[in-house]
Amino acid sequence: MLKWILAAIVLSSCTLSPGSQNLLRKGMSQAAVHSVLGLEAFASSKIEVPSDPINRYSVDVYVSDEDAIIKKHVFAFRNDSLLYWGLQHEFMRHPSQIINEIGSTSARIQ
Amino acid sequence: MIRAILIALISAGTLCSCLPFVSDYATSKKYLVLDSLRKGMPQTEVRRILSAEFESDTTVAVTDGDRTFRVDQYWLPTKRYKIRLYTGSGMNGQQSSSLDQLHEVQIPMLVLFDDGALRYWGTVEDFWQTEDQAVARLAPILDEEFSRAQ
Repeated sequence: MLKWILAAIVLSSCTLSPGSQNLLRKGMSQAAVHSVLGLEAFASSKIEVPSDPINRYSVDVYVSDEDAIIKKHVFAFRNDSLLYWGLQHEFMRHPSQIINEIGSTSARIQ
Repeated sequence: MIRAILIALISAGTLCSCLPFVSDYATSKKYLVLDSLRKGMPQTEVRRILSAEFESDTTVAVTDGDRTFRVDQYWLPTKRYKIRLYTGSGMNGQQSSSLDQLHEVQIPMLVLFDDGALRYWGTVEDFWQTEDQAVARLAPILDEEFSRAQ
């Protein structure tokens, strides 16, 4: 579970830079998000969302090193369109059940 | 023998270069605790999880219409910095010495319970911005309550 923290410490130049997320917009494709962030994701995975089995969902996981605290950021896509992004626990407190389920599933992505 | 000394020196150097990251790792690890929170968790369980990692000093009850919510405040570390204190001038034969003190910048995180179950958590700014309208309505009340409590 702590693998990505250790990886981020070792590869600190490969973490999200502060402010890069301000350029993101809902609806962007996965490729466009990679391009804006200027990095490949630490982990990327297709996921199943139990309350919405019809649409295709995937998540990208990045890490940031803000003020020397390493955090896990999740970017969720529905049919290759950016749906929501934030820290893992921000998905869990969201009012949408779909976003809660994405957060819950992405917690298992290493 | 020389090889063993060289390996020991290289290992010591590597370990020393990693030392600045140790405290950051400890703080980063605290944030993982937040990932285990789930809406609907009982207040006792949330308190057990969070109080293991974060300091808590205030609990208030807030009312919106005919509903009363309990809100706990925890302190989240956001930054660590070191201050070096010098004693003695080092002049006229006086010995000077220094002492490093580690300081932590912390921000308040509010944890909202609705009927004993976890409803929302975050900074006051998060409460203002959430799409959960019932929670967002509490933001001005919480702003006032917690600024009074501090």
